[in-house]
Amino acid sequence: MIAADAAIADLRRRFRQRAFEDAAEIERLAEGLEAAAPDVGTREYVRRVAHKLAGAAGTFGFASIGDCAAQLEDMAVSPETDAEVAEACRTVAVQIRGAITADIS
Amino acid sequence: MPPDNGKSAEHFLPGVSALNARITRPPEEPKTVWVIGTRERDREIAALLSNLGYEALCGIDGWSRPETARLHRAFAAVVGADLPGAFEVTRVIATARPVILVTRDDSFPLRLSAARAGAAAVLLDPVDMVEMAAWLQEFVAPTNPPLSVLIVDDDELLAATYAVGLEQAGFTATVITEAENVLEEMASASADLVLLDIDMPGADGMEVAQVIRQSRHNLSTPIVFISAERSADVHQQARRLGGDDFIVKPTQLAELAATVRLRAERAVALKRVMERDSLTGLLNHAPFKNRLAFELEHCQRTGSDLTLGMIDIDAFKTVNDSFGHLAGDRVLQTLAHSLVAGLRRIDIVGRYGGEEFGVILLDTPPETGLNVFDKLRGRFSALRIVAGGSRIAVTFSVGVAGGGRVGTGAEVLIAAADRALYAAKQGGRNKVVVDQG
Repeated sequence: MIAADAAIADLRRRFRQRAFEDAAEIERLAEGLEAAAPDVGTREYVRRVAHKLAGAAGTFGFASIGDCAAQLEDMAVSPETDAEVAEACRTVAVQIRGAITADIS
Repeated sequence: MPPDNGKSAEHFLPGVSALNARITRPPEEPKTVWVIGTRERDREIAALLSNLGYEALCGIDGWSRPETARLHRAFAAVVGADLPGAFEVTRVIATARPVILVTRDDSFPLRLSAARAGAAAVLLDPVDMVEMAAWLQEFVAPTNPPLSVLIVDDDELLAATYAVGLEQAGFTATVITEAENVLEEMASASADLVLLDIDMPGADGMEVAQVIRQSRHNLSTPIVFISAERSADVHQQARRLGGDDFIVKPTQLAELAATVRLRAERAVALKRVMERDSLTGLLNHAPFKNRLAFELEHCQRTGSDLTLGMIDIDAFKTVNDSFGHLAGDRVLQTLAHSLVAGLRRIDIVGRYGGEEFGVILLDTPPETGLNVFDKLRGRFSALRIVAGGSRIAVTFSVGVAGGGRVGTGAEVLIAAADRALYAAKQGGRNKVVVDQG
């Protein structure tokens, strides 16, 4: 049981690290969407990153990250403009960092 | 019925075979039963137990050291209800071991007292051997192996977390992060359940499910989708394509374990019904042959020995003709119990057909196997099977063949054992004969 708890704690630590990387990735994607002529696949990429985060965050105890990532996932395939999706990306990145930082301290 | 005219293996190989048996056949822990206060019937019940492959300890001398020692050695106790203070004795033993209460009084008050004392079973005297054997077998039954789950998810952190959560709940878990490795993994290890992510790069989980379902072997393995997909349409489609359940991410580990357990246990129970003979509870013909092929491959890899015995009841038609088919069924059940009880848990017993049974002895060379079968044969021939007021003596013959290291196929080994069985029948029945290749 103790070994399992340690394993879970370690996986959770790795998830936090990856979530920071995801936040940076989402911001890079926001920049891409704000460019004069965004790549066609950028929104699909946003959807992918958000989808993965939405599926995993809750299991590691970050329900708030999961919720906002799920909203971002839906938005990426909605008729919203690229600019609006980019703005949502930046909001989500801030929320991810906030939740992870709060958890560490 | 013929007398016990088969010479024991010991007669031909004194000493050597016994030593061999000790070295090459790791024994099972003794299957000891404590028999208390069935009075004049103690010895009769002890004899009955010994014929079923159990060892009996008899008697009670008041609660002292010997009693504690007996309790430690036995895995179950048989208590006679006539013994003064039988229910008190039952109550004490039942806290540590299952107790079978033997009684002549089949009344509700007696059964109620037995239940209150914690007796696991009540048997009427004279004791029905098949019923007694069934209870004892249930008490010693191997603890079910842990259910195994194959986790397919491209998110390795999440997959590893599911694995830890499931292992904590008592499962064994294997993780695959590349969908294309699923079939290979399923062929090498049999999973009791597949936990499948839907949205993976490369191959969609629903496509993977279809691929899994294309193989007959995997048809009964439950597939549980686990996905962050929230659309009801997708859930519907996933079920149509062979998914048994749908878990929505994010999932809590306890909830995941509960869903997986429900599905996996049901699948395992169903598989049991499909693979086992309803009369004897033994493996059916085809699963027995599959198991033999599997064990032979294993022997070839590890260089270990294996012995196959094909057992056929002597003059079974006469039993059916003289005593009726119900008596015949009881003979088959008694033989099944006596084989399972007399062998180790790792040995495999199947009902090959009608009155023919197959036994696979693992890590056992044929010379040692001969001894094992001869002991089973001797015990069974000493039993008197009670059916419809008659006490029937029945014997069986065994054909033995060894395989393993040499890389014999299942068909070839079965043919060799059948040949030896034929020789045993020709040689007068109630015999064990080893195929000489």
